[in-house]
Amino acid sequence: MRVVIRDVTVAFGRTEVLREVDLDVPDGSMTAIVGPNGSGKSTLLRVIYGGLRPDRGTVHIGDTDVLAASPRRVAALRGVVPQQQPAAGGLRVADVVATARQHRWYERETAADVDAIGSAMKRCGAAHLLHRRFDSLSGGERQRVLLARALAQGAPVLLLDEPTNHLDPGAQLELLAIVRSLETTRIIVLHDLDHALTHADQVTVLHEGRVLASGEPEQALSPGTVRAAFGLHSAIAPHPLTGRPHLTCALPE
Amino acid sequence: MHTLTASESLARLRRGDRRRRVAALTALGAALLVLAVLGVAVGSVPVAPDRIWAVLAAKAGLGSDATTLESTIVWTLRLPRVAMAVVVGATLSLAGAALQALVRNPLADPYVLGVSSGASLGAVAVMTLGAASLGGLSVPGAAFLAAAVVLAVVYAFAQRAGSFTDARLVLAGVALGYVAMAATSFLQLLAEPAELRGIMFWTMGSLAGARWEALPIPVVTLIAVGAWLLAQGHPLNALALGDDDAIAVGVDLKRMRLGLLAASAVLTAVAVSVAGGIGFIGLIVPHIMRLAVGADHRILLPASALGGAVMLVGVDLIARTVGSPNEYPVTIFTALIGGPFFLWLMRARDKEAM
Repeated sequence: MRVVIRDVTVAFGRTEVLREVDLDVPDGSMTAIVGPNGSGKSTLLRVIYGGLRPDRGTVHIGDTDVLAASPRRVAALRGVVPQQQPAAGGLRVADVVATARQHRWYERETAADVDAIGSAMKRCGAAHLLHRRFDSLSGGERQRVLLARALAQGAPVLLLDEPTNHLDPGAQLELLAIVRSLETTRIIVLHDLDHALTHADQVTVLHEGRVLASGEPEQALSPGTVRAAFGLHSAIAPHPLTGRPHLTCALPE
Repeated sequence: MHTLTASESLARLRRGDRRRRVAALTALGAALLVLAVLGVAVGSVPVAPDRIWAVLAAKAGLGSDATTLESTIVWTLRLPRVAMAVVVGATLSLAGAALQALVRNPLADPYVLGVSSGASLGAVAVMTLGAASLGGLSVPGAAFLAAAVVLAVVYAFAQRAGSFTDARLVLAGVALGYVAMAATSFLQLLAEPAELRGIMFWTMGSLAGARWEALPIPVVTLIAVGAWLLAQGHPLNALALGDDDAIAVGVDLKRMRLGLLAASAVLTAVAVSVAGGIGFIGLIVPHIMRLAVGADHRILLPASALGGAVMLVGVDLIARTVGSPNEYPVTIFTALIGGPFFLWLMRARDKEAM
């Protein structure tokens, strides 16, 4: 399902955090949003998932106007892996993932719910964690469980806010490989430019709340945009192990 | 060998959950029944269980040989008191469990919002200044009104840019609670010595005044608000994880918080208006139940309601028998039991974190 963002502007007091942002995410693609700290990446993702109402602009998932739809309707359209780690408060993994299937009070957990939760857990390689307490998991396990929760929503769009934060390199690559293998439309906020280059179908670079570049990864992450956005020298060269394009950065001399 | 799929092991987990749920609620229900019978039977004049039955049969028009004395003790004095303990205990624990999920703080209890201190101020004002100077308000009426005023002010202060933050809510509640407590202390200094004992019972909570006539409002409130709250177990799980987590899965965050806040405030105000400031139940019982049945609010909420009833019926029994014929305020014993338990819990949490 397509995601279309038009003219989104967000201001906190007098500071404009996002200015007239446009973004088109084609059906089934994986789009990475990158940018320096404070460039508005997470704010943009919050706007898309309905956690923050913009001062101006529109967000559509398919034909649905996200800003006008009910929270329940929006949750059926997109799953979210939020940036902030949850306060588990003693809940078990099964309970955490089950929150994805919100019911009205008169509805029971059905076999379809159990199947959706089970297959999402399996997809994320987390099925063996069902009985564990969420707060006893490692960082990598937690993110896999939160990804499973997002998938268990059964939504056509998936939004991830810096899901690789605080993970060791192996766990980062494992998580990205799972996200890469999904068929849903994905928007992922990333810090690591090489991860964006390697895993995304298209990349959007934000700088001071504006879209600096958007398009094919190698074009959007050209040395010119990387210098303008991050003040870094960068080069794209074949990865010594995989042979695929690899982005490296260095502070200017 | 057949290995379980994720769905199968989840289904198995759920069956286990259901069994434990039934077992826990049955055990709590049985404990409540036993304590309730004890609560009616034990006292300065003991009444055997079969005589309790005789009184109930007489009241139901079945004809029995219950004496007037037995009838007075069971029907007029002890039964409404036990019933009130059940209702107030369940009410306070439910409010505490809801607030702990709302503000995501294990220290939260029904009193962090300042509601209890406000109610005490209203009640003590009527006792010391006299009903006439306050427009003829009854003690419970004044308690409820003052609680509502405090809550409105706390809510107004917690608001910022259209939405409120939990930290501001708790800070405003604690600050206003202290203001109300100071005003209450000041009124106590103005009180006649004869009034002081009544004031102390009020501020520390007591079920001594429980009568049938006082029960309808708390019962109706508990049933109506409690039913709504029990239905929110699933969204509460999401909310307990975090605001973003609740939004992610489609919980209407603003309405949910407002609903939880209103529900716990009304529950607390009603409980305090009939039984005074009974402390610790709303704090401790949800924690005990979390250890006993787990943190899933779909089981935690009903278990807390029953657990609160069990604890208050038990504590009230102690409060009125331990120094018989004298009575003690309930909070002395909820605190004597609850305080050490709370310290132990903190230690246990420290170890868990290490």
